[in-house]
Amino acid sequence: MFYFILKRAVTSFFILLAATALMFVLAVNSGDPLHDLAELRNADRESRIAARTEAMHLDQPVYIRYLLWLQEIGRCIIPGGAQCTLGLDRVGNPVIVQLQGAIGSTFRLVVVATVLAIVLGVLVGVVTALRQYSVFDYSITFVAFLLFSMPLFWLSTLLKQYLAISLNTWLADPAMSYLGIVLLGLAAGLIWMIIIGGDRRRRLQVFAVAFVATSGTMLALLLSNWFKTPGFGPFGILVSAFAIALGATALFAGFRRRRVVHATLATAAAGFIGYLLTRGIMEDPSWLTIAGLTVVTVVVSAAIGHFVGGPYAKQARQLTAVVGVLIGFIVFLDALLHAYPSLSRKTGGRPIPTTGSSTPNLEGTFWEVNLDYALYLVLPTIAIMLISFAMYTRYTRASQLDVMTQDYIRTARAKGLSERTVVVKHAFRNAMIPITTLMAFDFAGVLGGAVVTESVFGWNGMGKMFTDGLDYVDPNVIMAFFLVTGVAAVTFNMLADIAYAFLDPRISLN
Amino acid sequence: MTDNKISADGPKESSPELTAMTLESQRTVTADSPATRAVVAEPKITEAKSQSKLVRERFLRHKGAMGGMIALALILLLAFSSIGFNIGPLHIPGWWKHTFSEVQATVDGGKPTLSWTGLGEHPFGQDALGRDYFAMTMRGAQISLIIAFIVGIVGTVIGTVVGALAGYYRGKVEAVLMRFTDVIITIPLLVVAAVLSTVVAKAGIVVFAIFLGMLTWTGLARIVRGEFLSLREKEFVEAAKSVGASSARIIFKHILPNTVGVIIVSATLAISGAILLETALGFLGLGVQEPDTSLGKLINENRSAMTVRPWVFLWPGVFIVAIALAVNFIGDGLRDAFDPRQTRNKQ
Repeated sequence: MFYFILKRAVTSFFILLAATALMFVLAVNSGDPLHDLAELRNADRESRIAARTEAMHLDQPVYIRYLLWLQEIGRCIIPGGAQCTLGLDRVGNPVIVQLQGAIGSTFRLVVVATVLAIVLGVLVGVVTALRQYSVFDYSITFVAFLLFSMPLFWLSTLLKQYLAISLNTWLADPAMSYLGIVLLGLAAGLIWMIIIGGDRRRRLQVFAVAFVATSGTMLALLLSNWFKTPGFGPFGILVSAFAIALGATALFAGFRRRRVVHATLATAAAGFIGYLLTRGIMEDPSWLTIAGLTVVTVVVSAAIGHFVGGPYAKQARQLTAVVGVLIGFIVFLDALLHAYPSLSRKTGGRPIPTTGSSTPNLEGTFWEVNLDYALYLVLPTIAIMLISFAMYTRYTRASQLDVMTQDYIRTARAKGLSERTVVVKHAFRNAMIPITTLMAFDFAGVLGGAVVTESVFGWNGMGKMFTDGLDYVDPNVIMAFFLVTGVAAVTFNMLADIAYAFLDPRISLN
Repeated sequence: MTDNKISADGPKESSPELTAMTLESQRTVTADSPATRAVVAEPKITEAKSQSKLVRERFLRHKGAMGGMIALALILLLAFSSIGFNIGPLHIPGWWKHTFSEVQATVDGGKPTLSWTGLGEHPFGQDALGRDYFAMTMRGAQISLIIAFIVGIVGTVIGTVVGALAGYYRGKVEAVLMRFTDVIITIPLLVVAAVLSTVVAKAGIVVFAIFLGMLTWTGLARIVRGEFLSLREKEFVEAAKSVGASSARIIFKHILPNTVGVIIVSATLAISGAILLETALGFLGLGVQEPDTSLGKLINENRSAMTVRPWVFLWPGVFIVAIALAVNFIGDGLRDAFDPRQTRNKQ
């Protein structure tokens, strides 16, 4: 294993080296870095050209310039050496300063969108595979194809022009006629009916329950002025904690093992108590506090699983840890939403911003600042997510279908396992193996695609840095962008290979 | 073995390497194919179907793929017949009354006149200069389609050759070719295309398309290599080797026909991918340069007028989505036709 990883790391390093060389040559030859100065009619034209030529080493051949760039990178890798700059841009500022400013916003965008796309895509993919040739399957297939065929920039602009503006107008004065509420309930009922399926009686039941639940919730939300002051409140958290506990148990363990059920329910109760106890700390925490609380949550809930689980301690531990983290996330979300009214007053009442990556000069609590980030993320995240989502559903569906026809699934059914165990434990786990490779590919692709998204939404991230670098023919800036995307691509590919070999025992590592 | 019987009853093919051919057809006609079942069920021998005929039938039955084919044919017909096109110096005129460059007085703020009753004077409206937007969109669609097809073909040819050589010869050839593929994969496609297009795009759309094709072969190369790795160990390759067939003959006559399904599917997906890549580049102002235009470039040019004239943004986008969607559906149909494992077991 160690030898395999080492070999893979060395290969990756050389691949990256070759790729940077190729990229550098391309970047240098992408245009004339002096073209803006050459058009000047000033007297100092010659001296400025000379200065830039000196600064960018334009008088040197390409390979010397590449070696100079490598030297700058070397300074960053070897500690204790000269200052790390990643080279200077054409006006003589260190590129690393620019990169540090850009990298945060881009990663925020890409990571959130990718995680959401994976979760949703895998979930929907599995359901479509289990309901192959149903109306739901056909509709999702069509939607996935449509999204797959949609240029990112076009979808982004549509979302920006139509969805954001109407949503903002609606949120400014959230009201809905009774007819609207009924129609919403009907739509939700139809969708759930199609997803769950079954015979006619069951369909009608599902439809009725979903209709009542959706329109009832909507009515309650409107009446309690929820859209002006969103949040879950203590009662909402209590309910969702137990819903999460029951849902996770139903999905991953079933209710036969009483000890496991007790463990998850105990975790839910502990989560709620934890929420009440930490309210003081959660007033205005830092990311460090949040990280600390997350660790505590995982440890405490795993401990509950360990001691309550009895003979099923291992399964209970895993399950309670997941439940604990999910409850923690709900608590986090609740605190974030509570900052909405005060943030709305500070930013002027258009909740979903369409340009930029955060409100400039915003001063506020931890929650206000992060809610601000989150609201700016909404549109670009939806755009990127929808397109990645299309891919994940298609591949997960294919993979799950492939696995479901294998002999060992028939064996599992034949020996009398419940359908839930067959689908979740036997099929799903194996269906996920090919998806790991896809994740690596997609993440690198999305990072490159950030160029387009940032251009549409006016973000000041790495994509903007790259397009500017390209406009000014500034190789060091272009290379800084490539260094991040290239390292990400190589690393993720390597991780995918290792994960693949680890997950699929048929692949030998040597 | 029913397989042998089927191939003996099948289309009479007189090949000098009969052994290899028979073994090959074992792969293609599987035990539970419709043809076999028909033979077992009826005493009267029904006509045996060759693999290509089965594929064709499955493809023709695939509703999505047929819809895609019709849509793509209509779009092609519309784009090329409406405003005409050039073959070298020769211009073939179209039936549409306006050209894409003719500047006219703006009628009714340049609003589209397309309605249920008819096309009207300017069905897709006019741009800020008063040019007919229908003609401009058709011109953009022509060029985007040409680019997409060239990219698809070039990428497929390179990917197939690289994958085939790496998979067949293994050893050093494989190491060099696959590491080279890894290097190209590492660079985000959009990034290298953007850098390249600032240089290459000035040389015209064909050169630009060829260069894009030279960047988009990596996925296919990996897939074809995988197929070759497993196929080269099969008996029919050994049989071909034993009768003294050359490497080139084995690669092109024996192994490649067995990978044609994967390649065709990948080629269609490469075409829809190319449409999206080209439009994304055009949107960033990097792809096709003046005087040529493309669907992405049209959208880029009219970005600022988005709120005043939404149609100049909408129509090229609709065409991009329609083309890509049609091609993707065709690809899906082809995949099902070549590899029906997932569609057959209806539960």
